[in-house]
Amino acid sequence: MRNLFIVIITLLLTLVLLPAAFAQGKVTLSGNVKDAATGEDLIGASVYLQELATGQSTNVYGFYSITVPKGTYTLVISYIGYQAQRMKLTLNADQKLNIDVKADQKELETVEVIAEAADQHVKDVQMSTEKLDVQTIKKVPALLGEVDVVRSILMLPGVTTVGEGASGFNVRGGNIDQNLILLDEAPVFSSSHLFGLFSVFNADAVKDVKLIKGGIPAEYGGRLSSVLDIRQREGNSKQFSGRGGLGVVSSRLTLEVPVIKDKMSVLVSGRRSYADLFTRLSADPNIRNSVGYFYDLNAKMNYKFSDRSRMYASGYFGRDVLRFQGDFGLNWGNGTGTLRWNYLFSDRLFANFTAVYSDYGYNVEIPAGDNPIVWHSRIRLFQQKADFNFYTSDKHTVNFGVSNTYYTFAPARVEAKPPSQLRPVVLPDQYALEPAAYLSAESKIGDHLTVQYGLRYSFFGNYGPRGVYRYQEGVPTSSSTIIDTVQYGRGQAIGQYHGPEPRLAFNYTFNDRQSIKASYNRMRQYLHLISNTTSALPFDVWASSNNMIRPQLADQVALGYFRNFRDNTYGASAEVYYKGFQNQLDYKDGAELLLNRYLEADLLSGIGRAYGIEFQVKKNKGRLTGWASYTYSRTERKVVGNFPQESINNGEWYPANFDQPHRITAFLAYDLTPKLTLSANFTYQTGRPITLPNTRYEFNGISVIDFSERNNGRIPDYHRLDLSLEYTPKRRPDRRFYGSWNFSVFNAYGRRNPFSVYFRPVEGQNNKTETVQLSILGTVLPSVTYNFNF
Amino acid sequence: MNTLKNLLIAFCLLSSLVACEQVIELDVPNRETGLVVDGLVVDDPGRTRVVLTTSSRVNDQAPTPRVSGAQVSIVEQEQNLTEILRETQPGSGTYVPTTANFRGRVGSSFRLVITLPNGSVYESEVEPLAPITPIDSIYSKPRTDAERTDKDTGAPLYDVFIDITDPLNEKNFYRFEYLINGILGPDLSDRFGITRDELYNGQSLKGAISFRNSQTVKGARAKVEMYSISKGAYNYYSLIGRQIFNGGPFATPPEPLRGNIYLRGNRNKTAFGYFAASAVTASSVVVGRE
Repeated sequence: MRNLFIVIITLLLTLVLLPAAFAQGKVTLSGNVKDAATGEDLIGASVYLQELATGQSTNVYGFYSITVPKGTYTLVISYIGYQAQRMKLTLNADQKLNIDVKADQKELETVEVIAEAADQHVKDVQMSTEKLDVQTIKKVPALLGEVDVVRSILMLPGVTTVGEGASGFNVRGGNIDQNLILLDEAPVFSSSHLFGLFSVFNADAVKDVKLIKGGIPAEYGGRLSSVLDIRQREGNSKQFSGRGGLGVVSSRLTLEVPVIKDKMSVLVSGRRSYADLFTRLSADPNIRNSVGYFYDLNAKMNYKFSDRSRMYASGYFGRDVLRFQGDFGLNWGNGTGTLRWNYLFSDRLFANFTAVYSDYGYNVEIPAGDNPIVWHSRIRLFQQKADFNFYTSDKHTVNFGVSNTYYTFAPARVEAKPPSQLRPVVLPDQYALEPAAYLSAESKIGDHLTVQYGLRYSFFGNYGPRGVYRYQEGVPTSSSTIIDTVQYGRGQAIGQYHGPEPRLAFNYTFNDRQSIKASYNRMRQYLHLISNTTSALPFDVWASSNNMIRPQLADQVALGYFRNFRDNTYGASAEVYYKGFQNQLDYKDGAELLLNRYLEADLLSGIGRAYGIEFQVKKNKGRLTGWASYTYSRTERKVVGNFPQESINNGEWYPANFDQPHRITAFLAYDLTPKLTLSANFTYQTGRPITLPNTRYEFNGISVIDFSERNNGRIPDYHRLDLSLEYTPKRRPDRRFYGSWNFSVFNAYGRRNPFSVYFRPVEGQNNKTETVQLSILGTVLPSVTYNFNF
Repeated sequence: MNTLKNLLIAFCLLSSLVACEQVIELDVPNRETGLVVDGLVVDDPGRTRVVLTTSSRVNDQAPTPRVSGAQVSIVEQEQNLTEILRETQPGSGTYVPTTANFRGRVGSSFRLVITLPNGSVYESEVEPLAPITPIDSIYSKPRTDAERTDKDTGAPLYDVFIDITDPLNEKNFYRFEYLINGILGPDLSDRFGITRDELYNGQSLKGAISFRNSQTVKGARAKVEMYSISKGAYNYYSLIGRQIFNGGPFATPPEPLRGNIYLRGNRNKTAFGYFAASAVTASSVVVGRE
């Protein structure tokens, strides 16, 4: 096994580095592509040499580097929503070229917008990837006018949720904890505010959103099902500017300050909901004295030492706060911080060094009454990374890097305050390290084939100090079968795992209009969100893999056909995938997940499978833009334990909570006039599974239900239409300030979509049972938002 | 934890102001029905009883059918004494000891045996009858939180509290029944209030156990009955509670309720319900008259 591994590494190294040898006698054109007005780097802009029919996309820092034979070329730079630029260049020696491109504004209708970038979905080797620019996200009709990154990706094929108001999202049969959500490279543990009604990402501070559902490149690891890579804006480096909005739910303000023009800029952005400001005016003391709000703060600073060296610091902090009179207080949220240093070792070797901090936690406080308590829980990570892009030739790029992550898990600390008679509960902290290294390359072989191949290798260790329970073997584990407690010292390994994660992707491009892509990826995940509720709770804690909890594993293969029509006006794609999961956590009947010292004894481990086909048609240009998609998918789980009570549904396959076979989504935006844009989105999906009752009986006057097989029924189907109208008055050229109005209607035909269906005794007549359907957003929700820029 | 969850659900519903629950008719396939046993042996004479019924369709609102004509007996394990039970009247499905003043002795353990008219025999696991600690005091206090008056009559509502001293040397599990003017309340909290001493073993609990319902008004006679129960019974009752409070966005997968009664010779075939053994103590107070 070990020998095989060395052979693979050697082969990979040879493949990766060989093409560099042929780069002799060539010249390198490199630089950054930026927005002309704000100086922001553009991610994924296309830099194309017409004569060679070759090119590149800028990396996440806007950097590109192309190594080609000496000669005279026509360079075309294009980016969706921007005016394309063409220039003649004679390359005799290595050359640095920073390119500013201008945003396409509606007023300039005469300018031709070349959407070369639109055919990237045919030409890119990366499949199963969705890029959403913030302009598009802002057009998607939003719940109560709150522009929402997570809700807009729910419009994409392969992304689902168990219901509105549910935290997180599911990608291709993956659980919500299997999405690597990165905000400026910092993993974000919880993407939701208010239990999932809104997301934590303030769109005003966001530059670029990319979702990868399959064929995940080797630089990403740690989660099984997807990568949601969100990059924050750097802020205007040319002039002081700002933007903001007033909405029904919250207000936002973003300020951008070019501290040193073209060298240093600072962006600060804040958002706060303000329903509580109105409830404080209520006559009812219960409402007046209860508050509930959320806020987000984003900040980013960048400093350019030279053309070669640049530093970025960015951070996020957000909280949800609830207080019920003086009786009960609760808050939770994420904080992240990222410090990055970009350094160009040469025109062809781009390096990025990153230090990341991220945490998620909640605090509960019951200050009054007979048993006052405070309760904290937290997960924290520190990460150091080095990533390199080596542009060996115009047809070959190598990416490699290393990272190390240190985790602290503090699952629960409950302190009783006097006069409480309760004893404090402290679950021991856990510590873990996750080092990883990766190497990958992208090669164009001939005119038609592009291959991306890579290997990630990750390690994980869970370390002391803490005591670890040992359970009797041969009987079902439970707190009563503990035979011993083993004390581990500081740094002593409690559970260690490691393994390779191969990644492979192909693109065979027949011509400019059509291609076939295929990919395989294996992912390993060492963290687990402990949650057995329909919608995840803010109290759900993240657990580390350890001696009892094995790492999650997923293998995915995907195959797709991509095609453009009518000069890239339309793009169409069809993808099929199959995914196998290992070590998926499930829970014993009656498992107590909070404050449970013997949590591991309540866990079950199962396997999963997910498969599906996704069709999508997009219209990229013209007055009408948008997409429509249909997905058929299945997601199933199987839990076979050593004992009957450790199996679910007798060890047979059963549908997962988020198994929603049919799903249709459509998003359309239509420019009625240059000032008015109408947009609409529509979602239909099969109702999610629930467990139906078997029979009913009375026990001491209480109606009790007997359930048998898990997830043997479904709630009614879900469908919803949202509309919005954006009015942008003509901008007066002499004024910097300009605004726009957004009128939106969520759930336009007021369907009471079921979130869940459950059975309970009738109040006051507990010997009878009723069937209850819960709808979270069961009415038409209109809203108006005013947005401004200056 | 349920309080926390309920508060959250309440907030979630309040905050969105648009969430709604509606009672619907859902077509639920009718599956097999079975025997339901609600059995109790108590250390107080005249309280031991076993009620046999059959389960029914979920959408069926009529009382579940009684099982009449069964042979029921309770076996005291230590001395192997069998007490035969008789049906109070034909068709009642309620069986009581034939010995007048029959009482379960604290420290003994008991087993229930049922022979149905069709000949099949069900047996319970052995249930220990644990001692009960006395209720030190019982008192009422006017409510101070949000719902402080009855929503129909406007009468001020009270909560009733008891203080107990938990014995140090054993693990204790308790169940409470809450009666107003001699009538057992209709809700789960009136019938299956349960607690365990995990967090307060050996301590004196003051004001930590309380009872509330909309009948607790000035002048009413409130009575709390406290039962000792086994760990198995505690688990079973807590599952009922979890099932009843399990709904809304944060529902957990429903759990099968496995009691302690099996078909003789086939441990995989269980009857619904539970056979419990308890010692009981009671205390009462006239609300608002301290």
